[in-house]
Amino acid sequence: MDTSATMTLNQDDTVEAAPLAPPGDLAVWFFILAELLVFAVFFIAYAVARTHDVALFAVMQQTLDPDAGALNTVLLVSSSWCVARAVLAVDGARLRTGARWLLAALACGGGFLLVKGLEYADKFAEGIGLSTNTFYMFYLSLTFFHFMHVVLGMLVLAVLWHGVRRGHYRRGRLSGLESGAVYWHMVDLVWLVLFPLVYVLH
Amino acid sequence: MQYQSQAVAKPYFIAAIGLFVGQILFGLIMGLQYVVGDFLFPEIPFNVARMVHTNLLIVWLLFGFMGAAYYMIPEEAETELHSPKLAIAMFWIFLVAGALTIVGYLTVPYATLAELTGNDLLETMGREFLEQPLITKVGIVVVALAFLFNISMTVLKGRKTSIALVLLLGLWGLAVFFLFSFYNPSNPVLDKYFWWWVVHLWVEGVWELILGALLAFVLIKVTGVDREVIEKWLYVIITLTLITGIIGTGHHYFWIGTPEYWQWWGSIFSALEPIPFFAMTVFAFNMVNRRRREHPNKAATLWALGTGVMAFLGAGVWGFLHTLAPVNYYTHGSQITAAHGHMAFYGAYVMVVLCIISYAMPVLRGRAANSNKAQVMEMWSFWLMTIAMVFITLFLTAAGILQVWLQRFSDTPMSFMATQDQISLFYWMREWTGVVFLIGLVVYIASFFVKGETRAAA
Amino acid sequence: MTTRHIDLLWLFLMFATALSWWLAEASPGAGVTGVVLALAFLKGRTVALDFMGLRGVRRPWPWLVGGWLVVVLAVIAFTFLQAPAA
Ligand code: HEM
Ligand code: HEM
Ligand SMILES: [Fe+2]
Repeated sequence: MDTSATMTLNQDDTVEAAPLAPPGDLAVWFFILAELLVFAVFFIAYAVARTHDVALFAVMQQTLDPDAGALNTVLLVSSSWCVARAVLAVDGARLRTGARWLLAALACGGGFLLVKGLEYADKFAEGIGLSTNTFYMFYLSLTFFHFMHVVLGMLVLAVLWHGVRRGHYRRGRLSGLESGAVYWHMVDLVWLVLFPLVYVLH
Repeated sequence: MQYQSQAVAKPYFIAAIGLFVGQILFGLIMGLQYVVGDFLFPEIPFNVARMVHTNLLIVWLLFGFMGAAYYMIPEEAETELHSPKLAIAMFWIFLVAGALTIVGYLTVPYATLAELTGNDLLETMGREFLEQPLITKVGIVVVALAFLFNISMTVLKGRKTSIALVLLLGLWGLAVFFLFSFYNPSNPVLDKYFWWWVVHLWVEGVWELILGALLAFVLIKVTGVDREVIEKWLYVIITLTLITGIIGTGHHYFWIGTPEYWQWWGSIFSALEPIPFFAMTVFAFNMVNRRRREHPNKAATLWALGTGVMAFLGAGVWGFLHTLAPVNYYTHGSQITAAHGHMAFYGAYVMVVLCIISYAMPVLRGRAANSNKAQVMEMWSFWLMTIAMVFITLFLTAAGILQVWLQRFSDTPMSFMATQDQISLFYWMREWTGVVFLIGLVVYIASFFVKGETRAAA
Repeated sequence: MTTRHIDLLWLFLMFATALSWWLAEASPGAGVTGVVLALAFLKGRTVALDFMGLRGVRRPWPWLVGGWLVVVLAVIAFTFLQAPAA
């Protein structure tokens, strides 16, 4: 990776964002790439493990609730949309609007956690755990790892919301806001693969 | 030296190097015992030599970390150390306790030592790396707490930099996880399970935070790159370390009786542990390339870059080699493990401690950097030790591959001892390379006594 | 990027999600797998290029995240071709 050139770029954070470097801080992008790699390994492990026991995975996937998965996709995608709107609003110096969009994004994230939490409660009530079978080992590990990312992302969004209300960000000084925003979009992006893989394809 | 109290670091560094010599001597004794089985028998049995070798390693690295903290914290916090007297008192307590423990290992049979030191009150002894008698363990905790109190108070009253906070987090973590050495459940699965909370969560968790903080500190000093840039990368590195390293503990839970999902968790997360090590290498080279000043201490810069590369090779590459469950199934506990253990410990922790010593010692002795002559000599020792370690690792890896092949993979597996006979050539080569390592260490020490033109302290 | 543009993208993402949700009920087969993965690709691409703002950014970046998406989805597709659902 060509870090030497891009790292110097971040010193020009204050310069109007030319479409040369990705929005936000380079260090955050490095982190995002590492996270994507973790998820990629997880997804591929799931897909390969499935080929060893197609029948088990097919039967077990039927025990999931695709409606809950779809609802959660709607929630996450919408929250990503809210965050994108928030960045635009702050860029246009509409801080109050920006803060409201971030709150909306947080609400969607909270909805996601609620739905996922209910799904987990359901499964745990049936006595399902990591050792139930390979499918559930993957289902629980993968979704819980993602769940923790949603929690972390929401903490980031809360900090951004606070920052927007305090007027920390404005055109030309958006790096912090954009860094948090791309992190949240990454959490969404990962779910967009996770949802079809675990809930839809069988 | 900017603050008088930084001077307490000096005895810590000197003791560290002294114990390092002892560690290597016992390594050589064991290396010879590998091929000449009754060497020094019955005076120093292999198991005792092994204990001395590994315990000295841990203890001198701890001396190095403490010295590093005493040196760095006043400068980071921009205030004198809370209590230099306490630091010196702890130094002597730790040194005497450590020496007595080693004398105990060497003079009394281990079982007798256990009896004498109250192991029946609370059984904590007899586990690899944690062999210390109960009183020594308690002593370590006392020293660690006094040390943490001292530096935490210093940071509390002074400037709070990211480097200081990461260092504190790492050192507190080190102390907290050591507490699991007092927990020794009689169920062997649980015993092993928590044993790794000390061993793995040290080297692949909290120690990495210390490593990152030390490296960042030296890089700021020798490159003059903005603190802000360096600290940002430090945060990314430690977050990745914690995400991968904590769940990565699972790579030790494949075959000890723990649930099967650990084979997946351990494989997946530990396979990603090389990322933070890689980031550290990129980070070190990048900062040096973007340096804003030419620091006269070239040797320290060399150690910093060397740490990045060798930690990535030893921990990242050699760790990855055997971290996937299907591979580890064959390589578990073989010479491949020893190869990795040597290069990782050397590349990450030995080198970073030598790096901070290289940077700080001249300053503690009243100059910005050593004379050119002394630095050239130090760089020679760098190459001698580092290349020797690379070859020790390669020979052990070769021995390990053969061992796995003959003893575990083949259709007609050989017995353990028959296999050892087959690979003794590699053990001889390891031993001779170990001698080169010792020569490198002697050159290193000699470099402290070389005079010559020096510049005054910055 | 205008707000209108972003809103349209959101509508598209909602529509694609509804479609995959509906396909979850459909009887499994190579065709369905293909469509679901293609939808996932389009959705992911939208998030990466437009929401994450990688459109027009200089080379390695759009490529790294896009490459991630392609590799992951391709491996998944491959394993489903190898071992289709019974
Ligand atoms: C600086 C960091 C590291 C140090 C100092 C270190 C040191 C060690 C040592 C001493 C052992 C042997 C433990 C014993 O059984 O007595 C060991 C085992 C092991 N290490 Fe590391 N290690 C480091 C990082 C890593 C990383 C990053 C990975 C994975 C990518 C890794 C993978 C392993 C594995 C799989 C084993 C178990 C080998 C077996 O089954 O026998 N290590 N390590
Ligand atoms: C700075 C240098 C060194 C470091 C950091 C180091 C570290 C270690 C560690 C961590 C272990 C435990 C390995 C494990 O549990 O798998 C070990 C064991 C050992 N070391 Fe070293 N060592 C160093 C130098 C040497 C040298 C120079 C020699 C000899 C030539 C040597 C010979 C041995 C032997 C023979 C063992 C025992 C392996 C066994 O149990 O089979 N070491 N050392
Ligand atoms: Fe480990």
